[in-house]
Amino acid sequence: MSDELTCRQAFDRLEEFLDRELSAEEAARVHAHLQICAQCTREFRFERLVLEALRDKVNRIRVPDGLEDRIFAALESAK
Amino acid sequence: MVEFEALLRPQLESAYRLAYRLTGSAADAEDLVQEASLSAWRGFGSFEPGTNFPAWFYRILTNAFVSRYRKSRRQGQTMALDEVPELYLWSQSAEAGREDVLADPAETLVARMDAERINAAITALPDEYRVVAALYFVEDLSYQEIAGMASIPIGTVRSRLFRARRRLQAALWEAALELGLVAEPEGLQ
Repeated sequence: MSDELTCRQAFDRLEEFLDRELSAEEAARVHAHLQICAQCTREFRFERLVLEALRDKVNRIRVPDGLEDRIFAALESAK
Repeated sequence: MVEFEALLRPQLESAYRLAYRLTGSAADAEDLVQEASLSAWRGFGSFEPGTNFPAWFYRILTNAFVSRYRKSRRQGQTMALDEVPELYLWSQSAEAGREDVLADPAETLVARMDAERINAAITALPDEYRVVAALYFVEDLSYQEIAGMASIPIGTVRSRLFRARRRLQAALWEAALELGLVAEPEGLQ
């Protein structure tokens, strides 16, 4: 069997590739495919940008003022 | 107590954001962080010094959510996960003529949605998917770490995350349509 991935095979590995969950060998196979496939490179870039933007956005939820004080006051009173 | 406080304090903001993604409300999120903090304090004797305190604490918080909140929440789910259309819709949209979407999706889509709407899409996921998705957005957690915090096998993390992403992407796509950030591509509805 050829070691080269098809677009479909690369696509199936996209999410775990972006999450750095592939083995080094599998990640290298994806890298090799991206070197020769502009369409997959574009798709992977797109998904990576969306993921980064999502991660950035969901972590911008404002933490209420005084949270720490209230938590530690509750801990004090529970002692 | 001093040692516990020193370990807990740097985690509170991240824990609150995780709790917000799980509960979907500021009041419930704070209650959940407080409950987890109290549980962690009571169980601090079982924490092994030098090991990963955030992982230990997030596991307590996740367990508290599962035991306290999931039973009381409605299981509202209008679309079975298997009915979510084959993605990747955003890039399909780009191919349908919205090249600007593809040129800079972060700017044209996600960045124009407010954080509350994105968190609401996570909160709307069915419980078992929401726990995995909420943990996924904590910075730099591996699937193995998520598995430990959610007390499920890593294979279950992979399958739930896969399906959660599909559902989340569909929900955000619907939000993007609603906000007029993208046009309905032909043949996808």
